[in-house]
Amino acid sequence: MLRSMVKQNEALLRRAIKAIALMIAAAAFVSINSRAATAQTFLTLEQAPKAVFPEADSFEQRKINSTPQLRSEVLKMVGRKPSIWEPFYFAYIAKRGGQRIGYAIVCEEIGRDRPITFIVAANTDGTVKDVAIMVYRETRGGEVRYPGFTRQFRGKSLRNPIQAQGDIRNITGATLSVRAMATGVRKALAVMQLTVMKE
Amino acid sequence: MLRKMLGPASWASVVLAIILSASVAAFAEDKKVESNKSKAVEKKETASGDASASRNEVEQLRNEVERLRAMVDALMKERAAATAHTANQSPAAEAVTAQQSETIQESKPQNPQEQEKPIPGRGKTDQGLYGTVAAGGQTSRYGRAVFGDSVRIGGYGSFRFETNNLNNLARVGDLPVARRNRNGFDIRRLVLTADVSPVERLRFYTEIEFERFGKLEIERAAIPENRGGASAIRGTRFIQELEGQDGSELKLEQFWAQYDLNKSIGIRGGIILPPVGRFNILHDDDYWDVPRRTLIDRDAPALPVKTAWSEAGLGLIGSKAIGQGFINYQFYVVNGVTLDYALEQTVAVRDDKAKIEFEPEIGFESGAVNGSRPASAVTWRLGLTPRVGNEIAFSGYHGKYTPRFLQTDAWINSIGVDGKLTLGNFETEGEFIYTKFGKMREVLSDLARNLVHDEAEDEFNETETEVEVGLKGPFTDHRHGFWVDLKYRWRPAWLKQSILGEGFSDPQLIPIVRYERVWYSRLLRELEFKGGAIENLEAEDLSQDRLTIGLTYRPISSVPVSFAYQYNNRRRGSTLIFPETIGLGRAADRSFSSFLIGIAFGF
Repeated sequence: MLRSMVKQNEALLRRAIKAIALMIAAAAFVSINSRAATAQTFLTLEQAPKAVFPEADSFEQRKINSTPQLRSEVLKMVGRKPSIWEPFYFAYIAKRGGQRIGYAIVCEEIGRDRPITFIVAANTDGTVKDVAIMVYRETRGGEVRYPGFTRQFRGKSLRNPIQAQGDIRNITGATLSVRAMATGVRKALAVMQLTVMKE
Repeated sequence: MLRKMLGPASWASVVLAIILSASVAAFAEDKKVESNKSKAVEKKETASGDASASRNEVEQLRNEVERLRAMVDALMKERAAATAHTANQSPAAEAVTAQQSETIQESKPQNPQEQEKPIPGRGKTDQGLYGTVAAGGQTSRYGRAVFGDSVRIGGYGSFRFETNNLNNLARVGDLPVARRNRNGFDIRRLVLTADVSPVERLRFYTEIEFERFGKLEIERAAIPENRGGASAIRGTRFIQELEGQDGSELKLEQFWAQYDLNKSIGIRGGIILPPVGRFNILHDDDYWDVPRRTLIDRDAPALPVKTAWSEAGLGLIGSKAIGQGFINYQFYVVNGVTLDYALEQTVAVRDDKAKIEFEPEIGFESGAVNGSRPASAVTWRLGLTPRVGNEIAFSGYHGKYTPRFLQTDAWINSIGVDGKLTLGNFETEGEFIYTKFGKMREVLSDLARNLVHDEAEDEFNETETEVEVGLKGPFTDHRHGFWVDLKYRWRPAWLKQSILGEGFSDPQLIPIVRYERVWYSRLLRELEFKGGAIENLEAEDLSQDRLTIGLTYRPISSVPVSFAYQYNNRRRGSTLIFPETIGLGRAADRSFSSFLIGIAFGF
């Protein structure tokens, strides 16, 4: 009976075996090449400051409350309305040998639908040292996480426009995420200048 | 070789089934964890029930509650003092230890007055690190959350006003002329999107398109034929009335699930957009600065099927950083473009005999999505961004297009090259598409053999009936074409200060020039066949180009208000390729001009 079943469905079985073999090969390829569990998370809160200040040997962490007064001043400095007001900010003072070498702050802005979480690092003179995406939740536009995009912010300060499709080049298909990042970096610089850099 | 490559095509359903099983298993696991948690809670409750029986334990619990109450009071006092301190001083940084950071993540804004109303529907799953609130009003957001936070509803749409100087047909007697020209508003489309991400590595996306869709109304009734009159005949009358508006289309444009294997690659399956050229995958109206789609993608398609071209299939999608830029890639096995038919019905009320005509129109369409067509095509794209703002991509489509009712096996091969270059505020973007339809002459002979006669007529007393095969195609040996956009993003200071810029963060004026050209090689004009054999076949080479000069005002990035002048010119052949009017065919004008005003929006 089994033999006749196999015989009758020979072609189907052959295709099924091919499909299973392909799946096993794909699974092997993926397991070798990936850590699948965190497709959207690129940096945790603990990793983020070290990623933008690898040369630092210590960090002082601050919690900055986002008061109405702070928001009002930030809004003036940013020059455009952010999509999000965080209730507070995680900020870091990076040190090396006891000396301050810069500041970093974790901010969020909405791309198209969902918040993008990122860290902005600034030198002591207020220019951007680096930007890194921590969590990207949108369906498309994830290319903003690549260094080729984030390195555009380096050396810029609030004196620069930091404007999408202006001094920040656009990524096709990720226009709203690029805009969000441009606004977000200005917001981060403004918050830093008004708080940790004044200390 | 290609056919061997297509072997995995039939596996698409197996792969999808396995992915879905995996996700179901993941959800089942979550449910199991939840169920274990609830069991634990139940056990705790039982234990506390037993404890209540013991007086000692009740006393202990009472003491514990008193202790906790005292702690809460102390904390409240401390918090009130901190709030007063924050309100009196400029924003100050408060030092916290690394150990405290976890507590901070859970905390809320300290001053209740600082709390803004959260966006309705924004739950915890997708609220970001801070559980943030929108800075703008609800309506200023792009994409709304519904049914919990994982579902986002959005969309885009556009409409335009067009006036052109196409020649109308010659006047016959005292009847009004048959018009080709336009002078009116065109509600181009409304596309509604739903984006669902229940967990980090799974997402679902849907686009439903209402194209020039004003109305669809169906009325049905079954009534007795005998309504009591003296000459009434016994029987029942079944009535169906279908009312709609010209050019209406309702389409499931995209409907896919994506399972991210890792940060660089995911599996996507469902109804996807074949990534040939850049227009098909970037077809959202609010992206473009000309209020009409390009010739080679839409009006005179060099693509196998006009944009938005969708296919059912399964494949891989991803991107990876390389040097100062990145690469992106897509590869799908799809059902594929096929020769399909639509039944056109015509009723002509005329001076002589009335005419009823049925015309099966055979043309190229996306593959059926009901499983009746074997997956017989592949489509792919490989894009390179050497530096952000500059891109080049190569893409292709290869698949069998002959349906089962034909004996011939013939293939479509389509190749695309597209790219973008950014130089300061200047941007140039373009696309080239070449599509070859294999064995076209054999396919037409096969059609003639199977359809036997191209027309059949009969006449009754005052009515003439006709069945005529319409070869809509467009049947060509090959088609190719290109378009190039050159635009400048202008942000003059006066714009920001004028009424056009007030209240907008980044208003822009964008002068744009687009040049496009398309070639149709041996376009089938006439095919007559009788007894299964071709009696007459006429084909012609056609070419058309179009120059567009426009100006777009964008108050915000997702709203272009465009003004454009277009000049269409026939370069080769006896007619233009575009426009083609239903019932009138292609226009024989040497050239014509259009003026367009268009508004598109994304939300």
